[in-house]
Amino acid sequence: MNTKLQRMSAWSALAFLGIFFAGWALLGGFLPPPSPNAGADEIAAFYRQDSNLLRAGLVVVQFSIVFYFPWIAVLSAQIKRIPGVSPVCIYTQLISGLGGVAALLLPYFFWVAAAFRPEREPALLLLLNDLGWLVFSMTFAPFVAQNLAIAFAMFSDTRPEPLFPRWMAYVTLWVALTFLPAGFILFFKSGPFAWTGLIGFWIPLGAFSVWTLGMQALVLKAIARQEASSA
Amino acid sequence: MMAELGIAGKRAAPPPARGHIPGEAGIWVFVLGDLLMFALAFVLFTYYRAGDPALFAAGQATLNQNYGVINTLLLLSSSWFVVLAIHAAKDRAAVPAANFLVLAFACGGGFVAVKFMEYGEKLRAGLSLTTNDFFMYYYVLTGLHFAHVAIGMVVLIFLWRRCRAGIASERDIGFLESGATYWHMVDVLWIILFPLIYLLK
Repeated sequence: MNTKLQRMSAWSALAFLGIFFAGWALLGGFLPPPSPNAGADEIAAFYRQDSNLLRAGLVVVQFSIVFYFPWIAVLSAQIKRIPGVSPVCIYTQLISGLGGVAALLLPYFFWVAAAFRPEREPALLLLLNDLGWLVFSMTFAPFVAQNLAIAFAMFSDTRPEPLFPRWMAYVTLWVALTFLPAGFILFFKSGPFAWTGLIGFWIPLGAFSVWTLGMQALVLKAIARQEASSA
Repeated sequence: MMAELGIAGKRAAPPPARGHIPGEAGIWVFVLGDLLMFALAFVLFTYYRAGDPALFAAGQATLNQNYGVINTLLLLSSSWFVVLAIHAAKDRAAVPAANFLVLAFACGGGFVAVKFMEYGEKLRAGLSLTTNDFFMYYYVLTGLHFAHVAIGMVVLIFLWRRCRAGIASERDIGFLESGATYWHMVDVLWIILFPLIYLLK
């Protein structure tokens, strides 16, 4: 069985994260996030300064999302190999993965619109900035659904040597829990639960990134097992 | 058990009563991860409290400690019923085990009801999560814990269903123990949260 494309798809998780952060954080300057307390003029200054660098960063972000699709696909392809796994897990993983893409693209559109005409009224830039950051930081639904689907699939593997280690199922559930406090960002403009806060933003973002890299390593191991069993 | 012995190789099997870790190993990864998150939140709370002791003391004074005490008793009883359920399940007494889980669930329901009354009182008094830093922590910490209770009650339903279906294997016991471990964690978190927010001067 040729698993080369599956391997490339697994590695595309790293490509996605790396390119996304390069464009979003390094070029775009979106990390750390602007304060939710910042006034319209401050936000306008962010979009007016180095406008072209920011635009270039956003184009790089768009490019990074190309790699997110095969990553979602290979997750479903490998989960499908668990004997007796419910099709509901496979499909939920797939469609919530696509929901995750929407959660990345939707805020992106607002940032792009702000970056396109930074000379527009500061109040409008503030609105676009709010829309972008609120949607980006608060949209936990697809990611929670995805992690639940993956965890349930892993739990259904009752063999002595499961395809994915069972502790990863629990880690996956825990990561889903760390996403939930993102719901609080709607209430606060400063402090640990705001979109600049430790619990509202940094832990969910960090948990998502580390989990993705860990999951990539385990998917690569699962692919290796598939190669060994079909050789 | 056989597989464990196989992996352990030459090592002698530990005496079952002393070496037994309840539930699957994985649930403890989850429990430690979750405790870590709450520990971080508790540290943040203490840090902010140190920055404005007067505000936090004033906020604490508005809390109804009776609700907190009732909820502590409810969760402790609930945990105790879960322990009784696990003991019954180990004796393969599935029906009493299921009944103890119903009692545990009822205590959880009581906790939820008291919390609703408490939140309702505070909100009617105009104290919401944006009132000040104390109430931010009060609502966020108790709210996150509340979410854990709600998830735990769903877990209890699954445990109950398993008992109703009959307890056939060690795997069933392991499943019950994993769920019970989660429920005890929810209890432990409240036992830290209650003195920290309601009592500590």
